[in-house]
Amino acid sequence: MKKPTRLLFVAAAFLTLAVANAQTRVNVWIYESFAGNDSPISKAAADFMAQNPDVEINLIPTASTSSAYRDPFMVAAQGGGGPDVLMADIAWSPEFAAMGIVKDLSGHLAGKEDEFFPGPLDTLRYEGGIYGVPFYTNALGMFYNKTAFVEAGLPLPDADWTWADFRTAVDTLSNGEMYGFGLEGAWGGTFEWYPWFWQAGGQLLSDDGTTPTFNSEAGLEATRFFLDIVTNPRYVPEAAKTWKGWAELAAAFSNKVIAMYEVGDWGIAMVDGMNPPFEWGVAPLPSNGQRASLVGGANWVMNANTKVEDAAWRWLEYVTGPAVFPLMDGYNRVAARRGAAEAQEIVKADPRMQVLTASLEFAKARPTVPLWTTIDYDCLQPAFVRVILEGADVTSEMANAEMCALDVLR
Amino acid sequence: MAAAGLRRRARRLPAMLAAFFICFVFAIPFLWMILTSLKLPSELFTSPVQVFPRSGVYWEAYTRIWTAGQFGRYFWNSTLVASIATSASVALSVFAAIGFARYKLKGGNYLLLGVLLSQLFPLVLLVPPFYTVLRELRILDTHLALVIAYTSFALPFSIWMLTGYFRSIPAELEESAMIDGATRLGAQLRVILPLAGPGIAATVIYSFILAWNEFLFATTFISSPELRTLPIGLQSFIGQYSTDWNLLMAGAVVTTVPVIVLFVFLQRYLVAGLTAGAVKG
Amino acid sequence: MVRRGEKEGLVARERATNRRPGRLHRSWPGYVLVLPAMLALVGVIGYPLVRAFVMSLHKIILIRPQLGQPFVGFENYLTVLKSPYFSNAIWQTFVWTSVNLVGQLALGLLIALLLNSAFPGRGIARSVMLIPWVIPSVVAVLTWKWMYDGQFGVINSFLVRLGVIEKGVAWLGNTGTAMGAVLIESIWKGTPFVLIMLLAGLQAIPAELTDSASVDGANVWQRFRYVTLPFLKPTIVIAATLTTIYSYNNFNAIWLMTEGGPLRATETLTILTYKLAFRNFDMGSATAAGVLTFFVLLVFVVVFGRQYVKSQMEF
Repeated sequence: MKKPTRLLFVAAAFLTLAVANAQTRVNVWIYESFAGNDSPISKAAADFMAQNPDVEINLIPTASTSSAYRDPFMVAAQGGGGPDVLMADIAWSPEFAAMGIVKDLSGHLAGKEDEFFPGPLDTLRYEGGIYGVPFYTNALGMFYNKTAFVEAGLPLPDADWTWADFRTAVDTLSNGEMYGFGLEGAWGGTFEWYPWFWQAGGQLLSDDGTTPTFNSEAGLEATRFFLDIVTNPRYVPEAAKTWKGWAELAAAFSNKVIAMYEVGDWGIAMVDGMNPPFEWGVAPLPSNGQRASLVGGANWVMNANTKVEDAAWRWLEYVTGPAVFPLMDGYNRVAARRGAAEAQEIVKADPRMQVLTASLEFAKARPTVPLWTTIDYDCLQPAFVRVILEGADVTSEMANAEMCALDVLR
Repeated sequence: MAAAGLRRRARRLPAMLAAFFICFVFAIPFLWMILTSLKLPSELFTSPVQVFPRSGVYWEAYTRIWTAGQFGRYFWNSTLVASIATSASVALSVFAAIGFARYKLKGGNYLLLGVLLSQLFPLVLLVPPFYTVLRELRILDTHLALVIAYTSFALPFSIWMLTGYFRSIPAELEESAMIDGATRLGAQLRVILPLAGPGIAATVIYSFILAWNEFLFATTFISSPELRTLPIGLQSFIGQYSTDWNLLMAGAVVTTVPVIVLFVFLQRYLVAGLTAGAVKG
Repeated sequence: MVRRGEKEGLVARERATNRRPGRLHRSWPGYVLVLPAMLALVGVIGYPLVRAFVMSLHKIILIRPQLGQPFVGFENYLTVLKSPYFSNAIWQTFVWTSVNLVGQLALGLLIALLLNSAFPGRGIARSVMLIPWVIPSVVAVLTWKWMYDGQFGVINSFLVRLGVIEKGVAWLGNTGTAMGAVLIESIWKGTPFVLIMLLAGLQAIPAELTDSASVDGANVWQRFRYVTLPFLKPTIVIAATLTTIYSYNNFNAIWLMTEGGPLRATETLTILTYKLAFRNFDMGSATAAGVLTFFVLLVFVVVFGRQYVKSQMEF
């Protein structure tokens, strides 16, 4: 070997070694469904690492059910371990923040808050801090069987359709062969109920988050209207009592078992994949003077135990920055970053996505108190289920739920 | 002679038919899983329910599981962890069971009861403190952590099963082996082990299945994808919004069959006559 | 294993000191044999168990870290005991565990006797019977949930075709049927374990005994009652004890099918404990509930265990 070559070789070896040594490894949990060899997120990670040679992004795909994702993270973070950053459902954010197992990123986010949709950002606010960065978002809309509407002589739902229109449609479409409406009844239907509650002008909790306020005039009006439909065995199939996944609803819709259901953008690919033998469309949820929808989606959060905060933040900044638009196009999701509707190809190309994206404007998040999930599961859902299964009275059940929520919050 | 044999066989026929009928009923969910794995994704949820694949058999799931994730790797990991944990728990419980069955231990029966206490507490609550212990030992995210956990959790059953079994084997047999010049423990092992075939087979099956299917510890203590075991691999087919039923069912079938095959070999140790006569002989 | 055992010092020492034949030997080598397993159990399960007990004496609300974790004595126990959910859970646990126990034991015994008689294809039948136990429980439960579905479930479709019901029923979604539906899954999954134990136990019965009994003219029932059953008793007691423990601890089946619902109709103590820990984030109350049920089960185990010891004496 000639001397200069050898020198070069040694230098190169040193350089590689130096780079390898200086590299900061960031362990990143992502939902399993986002992973794959050529997945958009691994491409994004590669692009990021090309720009930041000192950081190594180690993507760890993890099954996204709560017992395989949320619980292990809680145990690990409480025990002093866990990944550095992770994607997390917006419903988990308040819990993580309250436990103190994720970092307050408001310092990093100073001056950047306007870059994100306010709804998703609100899910991260807890006692003055911001405990994560919004990643993607979605809102509920109404999927409807267009062919059935046309055959029944009903006007197609548009941006202005109302509760009364919805009720007429459900009644007309429930013809003995088909049910007008379907929902995830295993949860008592509270998930689908939130928008109706807000459309009626209801507020779930007082502004300070300490008092339940859902047992109001508006709350009763919405709950009566909603449960009146859900409890009618002609309108909603018996089987819906145990449905708690989107696959069952998509299948029921595609098999002409139900004519309408509430779902977000993730439902589009599911229904398309089942090749329904009819035309279908997406409408905003019917309004009642006011419009409302429910915000869903995922945030990025940073483990409070991380020792590589700087590198981890750079990754978060990158993956929620302008690079998020093409990234989310790859997953048929809408970024929680302002300008998504204009920047994302999937929105521009699909009118159904446009309807859902437009609903983001008036979509709200569930209260960001860490015990809201408990109130939902232990107070509201039992109340709804008692109405559905035992024909209990809405007024008294809402009062019970209020007492129960007071108890939880105390 | 022939007529008697025929008559005996005819008498067995109802038992045989009953056995096969029960087997069929118990196998229905598994058959449903196989059928599901072979249906086109669009045929899975149909109303009315469609039992058999309509438009051809869909084998793709069985090839896709090996390419979609790291199923081969999970398979190897599970085999490794389950084999080591099974060997360890069988070895430990054989010694412990000889101790319980052959020696007068003060409070031995209470100790034997105490062994079970470890199983009386909800597992979900043991996970957080266990995590801290493993972290302090610096064996989080290693197969060793799982081996230790599975070995210990298989012990109570194994000790009970084997103690009961060993007690049913007459001690005189060892005495004669000892007269032949073997040591006490040597005689015990040499005499008891061959006779305890059914008990040990049951223990092996139990420990292996426990380690093969365990989910809670595996998902909490293992974070590196390359160290994951089969139950975690299967969980990855259950998505946030929808489940890939084809892959999940194909994966479950592929996970189940090797253990059943293993059992086909093991079960001859459970066959009548192999030991029972020898004990008294 | 044999050779390694011979090398152990205890064996050599024993050879020197204890040559007298006897039915039960001196005790100390026994302790040495038992020790490794005990150490493993104490280290791996005992220590976390003690930590969990200590937690039950503290107020630990994970979402209120600012409160610290003050010692509160038995306050958590009082909270749990006073809760109406706890008494409901006790009752559901009782139903759940006892039906599981009776169902699995009865079916397991019946099938074990069937599969113990010699017939062609017995090996296959035994292997097939093992399948429910081997299927990873998450997948097994999800499959059953699907089979129970009111619209897409094969069970409803079958029952409708038979004319038993007019249209699909949401078996898991009604308070009257949910427990039964989950129990069927759990008995299906647990019976093979009992079966394997009993099959192994049946092998310990000397063949001459049953043979001579049938020569004496005993019928099938008499042979079962006076020969098989007494010999099988220790195994049955072990099986009963373990089935009780495993049914009680079974989390997946209920959680994935009903999450304890509808209206807590399937909420056993294990489910309640999980909810307290991972939904209410109240680790103090959760561990207190765990400790309380520990003692409830302890009573069971001691009763069964006495039986076991007794049956060993009769032997």
